[in-house]
Amino acid sequence: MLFTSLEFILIFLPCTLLAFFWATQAKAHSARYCLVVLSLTSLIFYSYWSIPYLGLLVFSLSFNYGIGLAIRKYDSWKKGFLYFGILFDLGLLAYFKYVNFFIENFNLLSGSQHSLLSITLPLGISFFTFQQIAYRMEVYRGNRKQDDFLTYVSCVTFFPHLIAGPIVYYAELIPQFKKKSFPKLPSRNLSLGLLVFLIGLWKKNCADWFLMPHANFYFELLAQKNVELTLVEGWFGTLAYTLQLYFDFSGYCDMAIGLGLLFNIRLPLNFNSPYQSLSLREFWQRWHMTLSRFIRTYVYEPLMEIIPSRALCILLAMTLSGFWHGAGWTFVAWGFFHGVCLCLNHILGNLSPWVSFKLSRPKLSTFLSGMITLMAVMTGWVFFRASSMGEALQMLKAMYGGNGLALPRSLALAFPALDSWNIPGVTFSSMFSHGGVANGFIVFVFFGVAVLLPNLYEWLGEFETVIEGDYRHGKLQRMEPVVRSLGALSGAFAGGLLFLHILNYFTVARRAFLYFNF
Amino acid sequence: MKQETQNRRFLQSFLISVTVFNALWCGLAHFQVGAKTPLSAWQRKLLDAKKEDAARMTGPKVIFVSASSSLFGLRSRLIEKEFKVPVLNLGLAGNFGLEGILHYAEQFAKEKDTVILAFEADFFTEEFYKEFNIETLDFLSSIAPDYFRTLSIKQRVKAYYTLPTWRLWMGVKAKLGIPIQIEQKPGRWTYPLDAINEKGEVTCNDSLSEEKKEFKEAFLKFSAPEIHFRHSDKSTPFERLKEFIALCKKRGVRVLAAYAPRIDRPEYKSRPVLLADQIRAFYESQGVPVLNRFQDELYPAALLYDDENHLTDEGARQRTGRLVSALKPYF
Repeated sequence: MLFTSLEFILIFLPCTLLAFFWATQAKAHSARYCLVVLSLTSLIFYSYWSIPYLGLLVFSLSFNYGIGLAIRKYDSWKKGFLYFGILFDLGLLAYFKYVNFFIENFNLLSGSQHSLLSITLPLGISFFTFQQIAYRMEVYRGNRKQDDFLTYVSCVTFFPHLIAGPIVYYAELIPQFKKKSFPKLPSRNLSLGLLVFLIGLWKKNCADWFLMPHANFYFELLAQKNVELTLVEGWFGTLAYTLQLYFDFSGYCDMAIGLGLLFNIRLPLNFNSPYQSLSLREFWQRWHMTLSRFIRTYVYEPLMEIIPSRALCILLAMTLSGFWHGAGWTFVAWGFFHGVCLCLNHILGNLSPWVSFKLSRPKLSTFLSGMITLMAVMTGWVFFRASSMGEALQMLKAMYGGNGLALPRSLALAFPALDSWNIPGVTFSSMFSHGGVANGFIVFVFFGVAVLLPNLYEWLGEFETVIEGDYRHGKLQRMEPVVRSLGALSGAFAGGLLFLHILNYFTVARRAFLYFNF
Repeated sequence: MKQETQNRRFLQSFLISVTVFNALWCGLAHFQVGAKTPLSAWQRKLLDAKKEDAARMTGPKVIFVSASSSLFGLRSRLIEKEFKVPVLNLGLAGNFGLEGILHYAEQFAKEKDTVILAFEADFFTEEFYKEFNIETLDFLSSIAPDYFRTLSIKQRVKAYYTLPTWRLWMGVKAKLGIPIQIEQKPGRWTYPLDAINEKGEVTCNDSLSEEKKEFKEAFLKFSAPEIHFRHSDKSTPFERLKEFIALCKKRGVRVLAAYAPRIDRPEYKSRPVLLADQIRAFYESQGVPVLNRFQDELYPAALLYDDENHLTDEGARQRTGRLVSALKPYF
């Protein structure tokens, strides 16, 4: 069930809220009832996609909970149990997600013809596997006690974050589930959650309607023979995908955060205007922030304990992060590329006291840093989006001038001098565009929104409310909230958003969230 | 306390606005049902011609129930001349959908009539059955309000929400009698209003305009893979046709079936055409004789007009001749 579907919005969510509301009213054991409601509805939510794979989820929950118990009980064996649990989880993930990748590559290397297995990737397996590994690590390190099974199940399966994150730390989630009672509805969080959910819904809609057609158009052209994109087309197609991914995934995360708030559960922020970053390091503090900290805590830091080279650890951690995203060499290349760029970023950062990169004009310096960072990020997204390494390299060749620069013929007609200069590599011809060059203007509107405007939480002035514990993400501009209170006007606005979504639901092709593939 | 009030106001205004917006939209959509929009003028004229033709007929008749393949590819006068029975060509635009076409077939089929089901292969697929495009909607709410009102509430609500805003306003304006001007651009599915004969058949398919040539080139490149796949026997189109056949038998109407004309593509001979086989098996299981074979109804590109099922005038004459031969044992 997609968060954008009418089944979810008009049936599942109201029913779950009503059941939750009923549970909060119970005179005794209200919190336990709430957890039962949340666990059951989350399992129903998952089973809507596939009932057989619900069995896999339940098995994974029981197995990991059992391992957690064993770690607590048998102190001398706890390391063994930990490794066994991790290996089992990773084995499961490898089977469902990576086995065909390994078979393909084995065939390629050995010249054998082993047939691929017909396996459907269980929805959200990467996320719930990581969640449970994180939990067990916390139990192993003694950071937390083994919780009861109901609390554990409700935390792992809590439907707003079950499929595609945010990846939570149990330190920030479990205390919220272990309250003696949940606030009675309607609470302020209900209004706030509704608004955040609907704005996230619209970000997703915008990604599907305005950005996806442009991105698909250029990347699908790569698969055609005799088509060579040129510089402007390459960058434009990649920009459309860069924005599509951001609006799609950050929209999903807003929806997850909004849904969490409806049940008085605060999920951590996952995006903080990442395309406004001035360095790649900062980018990773603002993009998919919960994955970044997971990789830092559970991959990078343990690696640092055994490998003395920081650069090597960064490279390894980022390459693994790429591989986590997908079973393909393009994802590995994406992770490796980011690893290399991060190393460069660290080296340049260390050199800066001696070699000042700061220009005399801070605004120009900011602009250049932002632009270089964005270009690096976009270059990385080419690997992320392309269907094969060949296509990725084709796109990069176009972006970096390998196929020359084609400019619209109308430009030469408007400025005849341009044509007469005969600049090498520059031609004036009709350009590939989805629905005409003017239609592409909308991509720049979204670019402006992503790069220049404050994000949703800054607009709402509610940044503090959705962050728990001592975890602080990146730099966030503090600004006076535009929406000072959630009253009748914002309620009508939210109602309008839902109405427009229903209206367009039947006419626009639906797409699952991009991160559901990972 | 203040926050509680604000919170309550937010939720109240959220619920009220969602209800009001949706009610307003559905209200307007309901209001404009039956409005004669200029968008559907051609299809309306087509349906009116067929209704008038049916009204002129007395005694047992033959009804060709099909989509545009018979609208373009049948010359019913030739059959009338051969067998001396009135023939109603109920070939309507494909956007009327299986339900829409059967709705009219049910209205016209009377005791002792002969119904010939000649649907194109895509009408047997669930995807096509459920497709809701603007022409379908226009047909539903503008051309056939009587049929529209027979739909379930769920289907009607879906139709209301599928209406684009511009089409809703067009319908409301037409209903209120406000003049509407639309630019009729030459397009793939645009035909002159006067190119319909008294039998409700298209008569402009004897020569290709420049635009139509472009469309023809496009469809020649396009392949229609659905014919190579077997579809579910329990799918809605098969179930709906079963119902229709049962109704005909109950009324004493003879039911025959025929394959629709189609462009001859090499893959129709080199690869199995599972859906075509499934259609024959379906009709035979219902006790409905099939007049021809799938391979008999394949025509060379030269006899096709602007779609892979639309024959030219010459193609229509050839097809009608073949059908006459196939129908001889029955008349």
